[in-house]
Amino acid sequence: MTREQALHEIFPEVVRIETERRPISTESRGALERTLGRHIPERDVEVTLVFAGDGSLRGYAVVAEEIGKYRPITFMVGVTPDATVRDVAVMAYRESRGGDVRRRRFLAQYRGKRPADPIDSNRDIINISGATISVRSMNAGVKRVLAEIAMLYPVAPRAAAASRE
Amino acid sequence: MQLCNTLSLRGRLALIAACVVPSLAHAQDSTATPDSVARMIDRLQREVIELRAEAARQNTRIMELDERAATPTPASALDSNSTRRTLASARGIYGKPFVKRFGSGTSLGGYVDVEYSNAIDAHTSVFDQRRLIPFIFSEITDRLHFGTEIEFEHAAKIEVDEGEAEGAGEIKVEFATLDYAIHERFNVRGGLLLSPLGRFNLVHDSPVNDLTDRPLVDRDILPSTLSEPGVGVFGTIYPSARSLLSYELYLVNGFTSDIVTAEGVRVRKGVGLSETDNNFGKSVVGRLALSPFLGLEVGASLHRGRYASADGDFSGQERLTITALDATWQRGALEVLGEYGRVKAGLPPSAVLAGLDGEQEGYYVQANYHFGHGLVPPIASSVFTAVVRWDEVDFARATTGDVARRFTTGLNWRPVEDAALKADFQWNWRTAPGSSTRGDVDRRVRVSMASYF
Repeated sequence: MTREQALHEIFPEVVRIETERRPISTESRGALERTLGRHIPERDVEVTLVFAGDGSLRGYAVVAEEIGKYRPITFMVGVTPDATVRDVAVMAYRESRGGDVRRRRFLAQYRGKRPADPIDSNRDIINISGATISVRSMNAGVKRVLAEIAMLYPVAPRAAAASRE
Repeated sequence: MQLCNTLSLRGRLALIAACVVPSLAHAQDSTATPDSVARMIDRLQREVIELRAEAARQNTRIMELDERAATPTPASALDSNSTRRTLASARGIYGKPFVKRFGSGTSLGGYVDVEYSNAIDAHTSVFDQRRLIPFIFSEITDRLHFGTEIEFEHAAKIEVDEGEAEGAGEIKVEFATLDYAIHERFNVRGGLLLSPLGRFNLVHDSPVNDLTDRPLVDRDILPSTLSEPGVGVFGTIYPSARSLLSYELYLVNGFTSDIVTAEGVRVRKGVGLSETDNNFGKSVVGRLALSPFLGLEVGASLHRGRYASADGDFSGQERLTITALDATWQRGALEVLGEYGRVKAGLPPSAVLAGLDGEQEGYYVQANYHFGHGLVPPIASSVFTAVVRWDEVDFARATTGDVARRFTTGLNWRPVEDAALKADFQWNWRTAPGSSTRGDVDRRVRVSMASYF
């Protein structure tokens, strides 16, 4: 699945996009690491702002990559302007087992998740038998993107986006 | 586009200046009124903003093209078939400690565990660095993948002295497979395969399992970790939006006559080797799994074929059939899982006369309950799991006794999801062959640490 296909899957109403590369300061990275309990190596994040035909900002899309058991899983996380997961689309799944994580029946679990939600197996995400590591990786990636978007676009960017219109 | 690609930031600013300066010159016309000058300035401000935005977009585009040019493939960074990423957010993955890339598509990782065992009634105890298992995975092409796990058990130390190997422990290739991906529904796999005989054999890594010891049925009836050389197909089908059907089917060398021992059938003893097939007859092994909805999976497995060679008491036509049924169910913090296995081995007349029974069976049922999320730092990821499991194996179905039973309670803590510290307490009972009376309890404490790296 290409980036464009993933964008249309998550935001079918997309008419226009803007891409920003937002730096993550050392302080912000530290805060993210404390929140997520994991190392964040990235020094910036590329965010695609998605606009509908009426010019309104419909959300943010970030391509994330997390290691499965052997190989990285590449997926796009779509987040609404109020920091809620709109949807997740897997762009590349390279493991020989656990391909179920690509399917809607699994990914639908992430819809509506907010930064404060656990997004954790055996809590609010049902695990996939035989793909435990892949599910954990997806959970971690979605949680990270949510936290990054909540940090990078608290309120003001929405006003800024509106003003750009 | 080529112009944009080669234009430096300074060049783009010069372009902006070139657009702006003539307008300023026009503004300095002596005939201009204050109102017209104000309109002109307003227009120029808008133009500058637009040009700055355009320059920023071009700069982003140039950065993307530069990164793409730095990769050795013209494939899109986001192409699902490509392993080469160009986005800065994508590169970050290889900064993680547990995966390193070598060459264009090779990754290295693994898992390790260390165990402490205390047999309370036997007054013995031991530390054991049980498993060190590096794994290597390589994407040779978009469709051709290689994967292997190499197992070092019990801190293997092998020394060769004058051609003789001495030492302790075990080193073996757990699996080494080449996969050719054709379609999600149909793929080809060959090599030393992880046999799809029961669910546990496929999902046996120590960091994933919540108790230290593997189930008895997966040691004695479904001999985990079972890997065999062979070739076959695998795939996944989605009958409906909610359901999933997966299959694996392979042709393998199969077991050997060594499964028949003086104590009875012990399939673990007769796992085939890679370099030879004792009877040149191949066995079939496969598993079909259905998940009617997320959270429930049931599976059925079969391993069947001739195991004996035509020598000694064996005719060479004796067959071994191993079947397995497995199920997992989860809802919220609760997981229930179990597996049933059965062995049916055709025996030579001499073995039957000696009183050996060719049929065995066993099962386990386990419940896991996850709680205490964040109770102990690191609060973002830690979790406790309480576990209970019942194990039972009957080594001779048709005769009395020869049964092993175990009850285990366990508590483990995961600081992160990929690592576990486990503490288990076991009650073991053995019923001797021919006896209907359960033997004395054998209590054991098992403590272990396991982690992916």
